[in-house]
Amino acid sequence: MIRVVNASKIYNKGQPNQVNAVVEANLHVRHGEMVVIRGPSGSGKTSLLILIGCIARPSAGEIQVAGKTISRLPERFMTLHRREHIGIIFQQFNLIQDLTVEQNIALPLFPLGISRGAMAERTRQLLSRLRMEARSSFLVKQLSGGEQQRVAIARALVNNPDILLADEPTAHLDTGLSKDLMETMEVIKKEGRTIVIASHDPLVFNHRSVDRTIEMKDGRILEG
Amino acid sequence: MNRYLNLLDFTIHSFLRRKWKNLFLMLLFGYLVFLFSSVLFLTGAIKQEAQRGVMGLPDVTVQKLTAGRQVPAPATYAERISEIFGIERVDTRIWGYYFDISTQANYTIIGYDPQKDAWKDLGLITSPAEKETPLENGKAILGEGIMRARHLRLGQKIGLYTPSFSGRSFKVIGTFKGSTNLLTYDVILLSEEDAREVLGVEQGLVTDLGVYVYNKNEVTTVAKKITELLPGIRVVIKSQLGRTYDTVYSWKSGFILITLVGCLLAFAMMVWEKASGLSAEEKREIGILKATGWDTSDILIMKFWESLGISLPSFLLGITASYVYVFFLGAPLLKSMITGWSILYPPFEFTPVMNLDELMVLLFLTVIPYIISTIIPSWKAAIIDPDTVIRGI
Repeated sequence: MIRVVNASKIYNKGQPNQVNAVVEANLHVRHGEMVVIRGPSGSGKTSLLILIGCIARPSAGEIQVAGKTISRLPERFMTLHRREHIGIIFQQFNLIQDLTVEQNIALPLFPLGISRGAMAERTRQLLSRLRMEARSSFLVKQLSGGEQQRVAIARALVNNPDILLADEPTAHLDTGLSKDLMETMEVIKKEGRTIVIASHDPLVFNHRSVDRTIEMKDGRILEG
Repeated sequence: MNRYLNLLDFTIHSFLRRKWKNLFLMLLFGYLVFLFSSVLFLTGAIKQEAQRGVMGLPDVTVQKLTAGRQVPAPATYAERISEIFGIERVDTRIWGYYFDISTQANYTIIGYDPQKDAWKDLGLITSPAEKETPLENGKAILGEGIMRARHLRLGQKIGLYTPSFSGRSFKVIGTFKGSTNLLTYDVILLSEEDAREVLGVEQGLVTDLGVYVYNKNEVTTVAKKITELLPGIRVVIKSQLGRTYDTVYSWKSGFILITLVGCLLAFAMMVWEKASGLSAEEKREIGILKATGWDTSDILIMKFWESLGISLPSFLLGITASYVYVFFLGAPLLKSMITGWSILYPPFEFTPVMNLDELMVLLFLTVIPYIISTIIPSWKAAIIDPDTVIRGI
């Protein structure tokens, strides 16, 4: 499902503040697997996730996602591929604060060309599934951290992706909410989706539904 | 189609999220358009008004000059000019300025038969009894400004002094239509004999001569022949006069537009400021949209509609406001800056005139730069990897 071959990501290349975020990483994630990438802050977990998520291109190496080599795809096709196959939960949620919950969840659907009725139906389903119906018309900035996290999950699932990527999904949650989140992840996994989580939270990588844990340090994958 | 409707829906939400900022922008934008289009509308209306007045003038006006100043011309010039081939007729004209102490204003006195075509074009309003009769001695037709300044009504009398300080009174039998006020506001029309007496023009002399030519393409040639025939005269061609009015009002409006350049520069600076970069929040939002599956073209469509939604209604608002200001309210303040060539300032009503070319120029100077200034930075933010935008790297 996901194959990373000798992929590197360098930010600010050639400048004094150059960052080697990912160094010659190799990784293979099979369909339906839940894999956790663990490591301390700055180890390159998020950068690797971003590369797999078709949000950025690798500086070197190759990345295949859902049967397509995305590292050399033109920007437009990379976006289309991401839209079709990938849902992402960001560490900072990356929600638009002054849009409503419903609008934030529907964000990936706006450019798809589906009817407004279908958009609303899909959004309502996810709101119900994540027990957020009562908050649908609230602005995101009026929600708690846990609620914002659920909105981020709903948004990542709204386009029905094969692959779900989550970057430090429990970073802003207390233990109870973190457990809830992992229960939700387990349900999502059972639906047949492939999940890759970047986290250094033991509650995540020790969860029963996790198939594999990969260690990263200084941009390199230590074990896989 | 659904895609565009969805993007439009999102754009509207986006607009409403920043409604106060956007409304402020719209007001500023609309005000700028209002200022410029008001000057353009007003100038266009005045030029049309002046051109309409010029239409009633003879094809060629002949004046005698002595030592560079206009002096009365011999009436016999009319016969000599009539001999030139192609001339339809030659009218002798008696006219001059009259300073009225009571109103502290200059009037233009013209001795002329109002039944002649030229004056009919200016929309004479007379009592029915006087409609078809020539202007007799002791009767006068007044411009609206004089009627008002002297508080006169039809049927009343107006008193004027001759150069020998003897008083004469004239019965007011008519006035002119308000639409010709620009030219007729300060005019007193008398019979030729009365005008001659009030202005002190001796028998056998006239103020100038109006020449009408059959073939309008030959006017310049005829004017040249008149100059050759009568040395020491000046000929003024109607089309030249029209161009002069155009030039004068264009110059005046141009002067006002120059004073408004400051506003345009302020607007340009705002546009430049916008074009040079988005706020961190706007960049982040574009990054989020990209990360959630929006294509660069989706973002550009959204931003295009957003900027069009601000600039086009503002433009139309500005144009509409200036239309109302000029053609319904009579352009208070601005009008006195552009008109004012008569001593009695004419409160004429403007006939709506819209010069599409000028409006298009205004559109291209305001709406297009605004749209570009919105789209370019959005495009710059949208073509880089979204993680760079989101993380601010």
